[in-house]
Amino acid sequence: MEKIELKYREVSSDLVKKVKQEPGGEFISRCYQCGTCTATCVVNPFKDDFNPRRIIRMAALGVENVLDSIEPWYCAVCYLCTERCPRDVKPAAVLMAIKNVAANEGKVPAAFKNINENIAKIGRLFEIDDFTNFMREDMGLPPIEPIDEEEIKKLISGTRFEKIIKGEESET
Amino acid sequence: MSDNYLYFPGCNIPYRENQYELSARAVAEKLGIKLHDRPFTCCGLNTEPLDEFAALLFSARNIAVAEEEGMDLVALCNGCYKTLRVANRKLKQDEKLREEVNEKLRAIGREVKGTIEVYHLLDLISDRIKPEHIVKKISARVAPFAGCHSSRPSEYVDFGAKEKLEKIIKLAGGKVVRYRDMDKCCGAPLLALSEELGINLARQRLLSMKERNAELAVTMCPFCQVSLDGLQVKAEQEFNESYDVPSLYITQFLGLAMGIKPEKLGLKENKKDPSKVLKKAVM
Repeated sequence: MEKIELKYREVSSDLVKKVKQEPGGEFISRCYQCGTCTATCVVNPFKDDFNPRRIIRMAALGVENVLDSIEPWYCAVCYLCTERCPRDVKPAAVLMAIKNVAANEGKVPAAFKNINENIAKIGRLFEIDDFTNFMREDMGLPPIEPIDEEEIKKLISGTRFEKIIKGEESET
Repeated sequence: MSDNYLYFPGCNIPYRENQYELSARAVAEKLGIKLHDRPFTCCGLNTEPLDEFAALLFSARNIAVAEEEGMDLVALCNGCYKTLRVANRKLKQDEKLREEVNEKLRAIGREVKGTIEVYHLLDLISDRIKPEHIVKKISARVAPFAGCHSSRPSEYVDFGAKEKLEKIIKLAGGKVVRYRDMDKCCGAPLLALSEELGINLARQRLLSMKERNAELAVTMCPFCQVSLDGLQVKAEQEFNESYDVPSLYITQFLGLAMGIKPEKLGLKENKKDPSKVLKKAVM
């Protein structure tokens, strides 16, 4: 996962199609590159290589290595760009769609994979152990009951999520 | 207006921000809001970047549990609120999507019919709070921090969170301070990838609060609180600066004004000690 470089050799015609098929990716082709998203972005001032306008342009051109880049994962998903986009591209949702396409090809940054391994197993981001429940009891709070792990397994069975967690890359 | 709600704890609050739940329960009780408990999974937010459909399954599973109990869901976390609110709306509006989701839910013996609503606790508090509930005034300059997912994406999430937060602060005797970039992200979502980025964003918010001489910040989301409270302590050390804007949850702030004892509001759990300013401000 690295910085995106524009390499025309790697342009693919189905990248845009794949992004559009994801929920939220539908409107990528509306973008006329005004840069309101990047001007609005809270992350960009601290990380100038996180540039949503540029990422969307790369994806719209079909630059495949957008999927190999960690850049889309830096979106804080604050939706300020989505509120202000004059073309209603829904940039945060387009970046989410790009991440979904990348994840489906097994390209997930470790930090995102780790937290989701917990969710796939216990249904939650953090395990609430006995110690935490004792502390809650001391405060006068009811215990957090664990979720039946079988229920989680059945719920995600057959989803792309299950395959991503198991490390079974899809055939693309 | 029903009084019975299913409380949705989410992942963060029971793990590291129990004072939010404690103070929320204390305030809710005084306002006649009855919170009930069931085992819930993650709302789905954390799974969205990997697979939005699977994320929707987690939301739907929790919505189905609430429907089984016949109660609306109430969240304290902006992230849970947004995720469940958007999912619930989509599942109600899009019959094809609902059928697709229900096909999966049947494997765990559940179903979404579209019979409940999702609220943020602030919305319920704001509807019920009256001047006679306030027994102490908190005379301080207060910076409201409503966060992102209480009001965005506005296509789905729009209960007037910012106005309601300000209304409650004023009712409790606080002076609302408006400041630069007050509707921008707290930085917490970035912590998974880069602590440095998260701290930088939190620092910006704190600096603009300080610029307007805010004495307290008030939050309504565990992510925002982790940034403004926990990261404040870290940023003060790292940047060798002093912001001095202790952050309280809105339920802690309002709870004090309602005369609830500080122990019942978990004030000791806050990382940046608010006792100095509270000593001066609470009358």
